[in-house]
Amino acid sequence: MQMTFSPQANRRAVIWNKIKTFFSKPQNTILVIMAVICTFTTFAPIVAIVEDTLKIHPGTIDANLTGRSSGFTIVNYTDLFTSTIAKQNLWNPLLNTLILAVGSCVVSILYGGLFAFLVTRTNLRFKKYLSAIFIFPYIMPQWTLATVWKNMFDSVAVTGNRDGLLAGLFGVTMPQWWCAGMFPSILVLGLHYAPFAYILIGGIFRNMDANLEEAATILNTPKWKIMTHVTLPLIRPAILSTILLVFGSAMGSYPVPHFLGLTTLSTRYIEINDRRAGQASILAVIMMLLGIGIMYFNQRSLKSRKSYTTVTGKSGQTSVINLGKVGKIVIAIILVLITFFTSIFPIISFAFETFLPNPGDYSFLKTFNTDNLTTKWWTTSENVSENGMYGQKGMLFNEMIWRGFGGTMLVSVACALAAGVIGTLIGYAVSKKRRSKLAGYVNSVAFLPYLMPSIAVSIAFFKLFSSGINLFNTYWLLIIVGTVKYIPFASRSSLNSMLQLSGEIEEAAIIQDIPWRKRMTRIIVPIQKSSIVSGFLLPFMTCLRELSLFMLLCGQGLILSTQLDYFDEMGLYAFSSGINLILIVTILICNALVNKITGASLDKGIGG
Amino acid sequence: MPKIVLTDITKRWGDFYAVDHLDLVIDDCSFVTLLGPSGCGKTTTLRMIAGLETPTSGRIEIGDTVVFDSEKGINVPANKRHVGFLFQNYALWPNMTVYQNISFGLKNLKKYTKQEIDEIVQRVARVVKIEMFLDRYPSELSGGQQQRVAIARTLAPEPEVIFMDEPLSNLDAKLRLEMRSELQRLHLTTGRTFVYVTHDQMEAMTLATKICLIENGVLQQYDPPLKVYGKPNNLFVADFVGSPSINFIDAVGTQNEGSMDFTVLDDKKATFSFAEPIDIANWREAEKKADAERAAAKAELAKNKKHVEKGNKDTVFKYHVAMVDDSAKQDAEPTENDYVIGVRPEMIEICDDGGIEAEIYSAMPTGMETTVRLRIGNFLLTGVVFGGVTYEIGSKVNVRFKGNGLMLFSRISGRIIGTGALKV
Repeated sequence: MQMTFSPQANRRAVIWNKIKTFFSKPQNTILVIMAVICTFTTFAPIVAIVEDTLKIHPGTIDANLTGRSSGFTIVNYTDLFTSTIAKQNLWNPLLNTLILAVGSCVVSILYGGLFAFLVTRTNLRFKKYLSAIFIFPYIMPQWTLATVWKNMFDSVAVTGNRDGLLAGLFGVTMPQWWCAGMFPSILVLGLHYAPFAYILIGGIFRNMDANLEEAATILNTPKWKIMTHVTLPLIRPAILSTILLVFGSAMGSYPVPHFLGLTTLSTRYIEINDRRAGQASILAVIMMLLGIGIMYFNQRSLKSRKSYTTVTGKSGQTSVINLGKVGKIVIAIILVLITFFTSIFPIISFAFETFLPNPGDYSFLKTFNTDNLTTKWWTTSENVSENGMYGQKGMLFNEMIWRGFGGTMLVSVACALAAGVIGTLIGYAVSKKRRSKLAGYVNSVAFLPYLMPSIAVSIAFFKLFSSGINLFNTYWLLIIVGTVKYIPFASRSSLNSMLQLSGEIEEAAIIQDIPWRKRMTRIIVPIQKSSIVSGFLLPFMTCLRELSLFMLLCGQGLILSTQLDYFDEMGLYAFSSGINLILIVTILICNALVNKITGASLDKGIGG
Repeated sequence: MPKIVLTDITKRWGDFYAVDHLDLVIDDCSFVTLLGPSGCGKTTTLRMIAGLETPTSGRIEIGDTVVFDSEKGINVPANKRHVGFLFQNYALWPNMTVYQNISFGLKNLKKYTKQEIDEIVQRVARVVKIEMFLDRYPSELSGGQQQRVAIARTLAPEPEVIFMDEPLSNLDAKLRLEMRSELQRLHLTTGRTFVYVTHDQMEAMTLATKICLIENGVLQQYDPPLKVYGKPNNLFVADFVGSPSINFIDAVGTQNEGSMDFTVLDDKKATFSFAEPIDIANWREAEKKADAERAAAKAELAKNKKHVEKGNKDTVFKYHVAMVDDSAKQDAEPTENDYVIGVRPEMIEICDDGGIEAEIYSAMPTGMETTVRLRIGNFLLTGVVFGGVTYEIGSKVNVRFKGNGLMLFSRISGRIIGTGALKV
């Protein structure tokens, strides 16, 4: 109305003013930049992989079937879904994948949930020790328990490769279904992810207002009814998030089914990738769709979850259930034994394996004669082909292993720094602009890679960076992929903590014209130190032991976890055990160090 | 010098209007309180002036600068508005000592040397009496001390305007009273403009040079405290301000040669004589005209495509008439002859020659004064008697309405018509 003269110029000035105002707020700038980056890193690989399913790959089945060597076709789809080997290539692996994922969820929720209940709500003994030791399986590489399982139960008679501890020592052989396949895979993945359930469900148990249960007690409700009608509904959100995390991760796990001889979508992908590249990509797309489905499921449950959030807050007295004089010790001892096998034994077992003269030669345990042990796997300092060394130097002197160690550290540190910084910024910006659509978009797009199976993400990036810009087998590629995959760790833990920080803390500084950089470095980061550090720590730890994500993206020598695979295939079990040991010890030392220095620890913010 | 002018400020989320077309002028050196029930939009208004919230439309000037104008797309960020803000929960930085909290903003101004900063910190710390706590962390201070630190931090950069968002609501009653008087002194000694948000009408009455009363995002009255108390614009204002609350008496009647003839309290005849002569017919005419203008303006607004219907509708305030037995009450549609008379508790006098018979329903002596509830028929009136007087509950007394300050409201619109005396 007032812009009578030159309305054109005026409108331009208004728009310019608005843009200037918008970008004068750092959170807006961050959101816009992150929206662009995350859109690219999340969707470009997906587009690349979908394109790959339609492309004709020279020298593979689709070229054969179409008779062309380039161009696009849907023959990959028709062949995969309808050909005679569809069952073998698609339906069986798919079914296995789903059973594995569901089974792992059930095992981890039952085991982790029960453990959480015992630790938080009963007068169990040794709580502190148990609680610390319980999350070990998650800290350790996924395949640790799988290899331990094999070291325990393999036997020449049943599985045919070598004698495990049980067979070698006592001559006990376990049946095939126990040694390999679905049952051990479910158990191993379930145990590996049980710490998720423990941390998430335990968190609610710990903060739950006991009054809610006491109110029911006063109304003379039977104990089991309180459990099913009050307690379980309250921990439902935690169970849902556990399902979300475990389902997605278990589905895309490669090492566990690979080691235990189960055919899932991810192992099938690796097997058919050479001859049927396009169809393999379809398997990856299916895994992604499952991941997105889980995300949708989560978002739906998130909506109904609102009504439960009142649970947290001031916790009054938590009522402790008495397990009885005998019960509290007996149950504790049982748990100590179980956690010994899941947490301590692997380390001992790996260490022990590296001193065996030959794989499966447990004569030391029968004779206790140190002559039956050897240090050759560690200390051989020259290339020798005898003694089963296959021309490798001992681990302490093996340049390849140390290069791999250096590579793993480089990738982990770089990923942790990049993912930590980006995730922290995303968490900050999203918490500032909670209501805006852009913030919601950035938040979910940044979270998406987390729900997509590692192997699918890895395939997608492989496709993206093997044509055009070729980064295959470089640390760059590993760092980029690792960063994309681990941003959710950092953004979740940072968002959760930023939401707890009252906006006025920063506004008080804005009012005094303190620049953004100073507000971050002097006020926000110091206050949220511990959760921001766990935002860096989680990617670091996870990256150290990552295999599924990296195995397709590099040759086997680049980092330790792929070397482990390499040595295992070679039959140098002592080396693979040794690398396991190196990884576990590194992770434990790092965790302890960071915990000591900053007070942050892994169990904070897992899965967010 | 900073005079703050808000023109037609609106803030809405969806169809919820937090602030609805607000015009406000805050004079230099004044102490203005934004008062209203919780959720009425007062904090939003304050945050919009400070730049922490962006208005949906309108224009804000601080001094000679336009800091916000939706039409021109101007929005000066909070850090460039050079104001001070005192937060409800103090928002002290927990990772810094008291000294660092106060000096952090100063260091950033770059115009001070280290020594000057030290002097400023010492000076403001002395003003709010925290000089002995400078090395402590906020968590090591009590609520009142934290409050003082927050004030010191706000004062240190010497802002021209200081905004306060319910700064005393986290303190206990005694400390609140003490801090209230200190804030008043502070306003005097610093000579700054204070804008103060509160839902506590006592705080607003005692501190402010002008009260801005807001309800449902709409400005109800913007006047000095005593005028708000003595001549409230409408029933809502009359009810909100004052403790114990004002008494409302329904009255039915017509104008008769200047004064009004009413039937009140069931069947009692009464005469209301205006302090300044008012002709009811004229008044009603003027009101209708104003209403029509408002409606026209609203229709004009509604033509705008971007206009959103207000979801939280404005309604005429439902005043409460205290009765012994509420069940008999019926809400008939008010007519032109329906009025409401507002009687402040101190306007009820208990004396032997009062024309109304009443029974003592309850009596609450505090020593300084006694609050009595009087039963007249089915109705209850609250009165205040000064001094330590005790009454026997159930005893009969005579009362009358004293003074020229009783308020007459139209029941249809809830607006005030005038003040005067009531004789029964």
